[in-house]
Amino acid sequence: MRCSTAGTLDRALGLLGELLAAQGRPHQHFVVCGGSSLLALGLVSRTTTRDVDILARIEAGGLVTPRPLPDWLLTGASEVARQLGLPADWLNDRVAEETLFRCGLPEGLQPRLTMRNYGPSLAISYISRRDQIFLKLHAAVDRDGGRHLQDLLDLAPTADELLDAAKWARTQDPSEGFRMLLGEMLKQLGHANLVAQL
Amino acid sequence: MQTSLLNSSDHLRRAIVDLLWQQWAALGVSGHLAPQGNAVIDPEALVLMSTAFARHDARLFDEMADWLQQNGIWINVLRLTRLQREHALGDDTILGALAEHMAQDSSHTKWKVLAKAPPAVAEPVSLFPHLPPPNRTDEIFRRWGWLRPPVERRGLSRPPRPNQPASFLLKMRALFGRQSRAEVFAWLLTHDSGHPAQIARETAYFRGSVQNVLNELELSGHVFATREGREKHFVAPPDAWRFLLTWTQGPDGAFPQWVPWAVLFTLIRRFHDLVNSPTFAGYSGDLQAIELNRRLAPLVARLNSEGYPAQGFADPVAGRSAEQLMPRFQHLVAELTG
Repeated sequence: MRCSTAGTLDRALGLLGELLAAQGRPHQHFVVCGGSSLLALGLVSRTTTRDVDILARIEAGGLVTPRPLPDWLLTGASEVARQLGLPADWLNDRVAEETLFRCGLPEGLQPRLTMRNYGPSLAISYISRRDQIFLKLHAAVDRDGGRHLQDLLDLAPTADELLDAAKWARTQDPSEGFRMLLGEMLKQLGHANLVAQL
Repeated sequence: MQTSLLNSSDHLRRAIVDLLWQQWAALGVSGHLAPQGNAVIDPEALVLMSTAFARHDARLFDEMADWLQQNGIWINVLRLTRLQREHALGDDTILGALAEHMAQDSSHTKWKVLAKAPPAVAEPVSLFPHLPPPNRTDEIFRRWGWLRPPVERRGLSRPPRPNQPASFLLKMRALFGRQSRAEVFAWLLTHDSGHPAQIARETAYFRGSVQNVLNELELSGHVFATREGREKHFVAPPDAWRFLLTWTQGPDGAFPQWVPWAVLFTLIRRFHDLVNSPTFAGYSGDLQAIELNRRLAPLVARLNSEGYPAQGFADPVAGRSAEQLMPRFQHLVAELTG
């Protein structure tokens, strides 16, 4: 499966924006997190990612769930994938789980966004370093480390940032099991002293 | 658009006009050498393609109009309408103007169906873009949005000659009438076998009427049917019908090649129109490739499904730019011209 560099993603989003404009589609404004956001803002050392994770849609000035993505958007993304040799699901809403919206995104996420326009029909807002730390900590605990842990280490969060992130992650999953796993992750990150504050 | 692509596009258009000249000459239009090839001409597809391209050669356009006036009874207007609806191959307004001219003759009243509603035209434009604006204009064409000198019939066109492969379909119409039976039988003679849905799709007739014709032909005892699963396949044994090959001597003569002209012409026209569109010229190379694939891939897939071996189109068109596809189209038109 081919991975994308920041340049390829920029080209893919630019092409998707051009395609949507050519088809006269209504303006779309998405919030993106994950590897593509880290690459776009140059926040980590890794140089490639598999996909663009759509976290939310901005509508009437507020964040709402992006699900379901319109069929014409997915068709356009698929045409871009074929043209540029990207994975078929390079643009997806897998991270936009219902619980995120039910339990709440990190507070103050929206004012910290960095927006880029890809033509007149597509805007992408990338989440900030702080919000990446929140989502990456949750994902690292939830999905047993992996690339999320590596990204988290690259982001080099401070103790205060990790504590805030851990408290937010507990709102997503208040179970005792999750608290224990979160504690283990904090120890792994060299912040065992934070466990007692969870 | 890049200058090289613009030049190539002009070259492609000239090649298309040459191809149309050859086909019309085979049907009896004067002023051009008829082809020597083995392909059956589809007269309705030819009329439609000519409404889009013959305006780039005023002489071809007027010879076509002359032939239609004299031989238009050989054109199946319902099939022409169906092809136009399915492929949007021709130019509706030019077809409308031609049809209105035709319908003035009482022997061509069927053409009225194509001349019902001229569009609301703010400013008519020149029909022949390579010629200066005419001093006097044809009123019918003007109503349909086109400026051209009054149509004058030269009367030099000849009836289709039955002794050549190109006019095989018209020969069959002369034998069986201008209904689906002629196309169905021509299709059977130019293929090993086929089932009703396939024959209907490739001859542009409704499946039901093709099914009825095939059942009747089977009753004649000269066309046979076999069952393959749930499908009934029909065969017209070529040896029994070789007397129709009036252009060749001896027992080895083969029936001509059935060419899916409507699909081929639509493919060529779509490519030509896209690369000449100012909107398309403003797209990035990647978007051009996507748009080309979106518009052309279904037609290429259909050609392949109909078993037509178009050289240069065996692999997908996806990801290819207009510059990369242009030589393929030039080669295709050259190959079709022979």
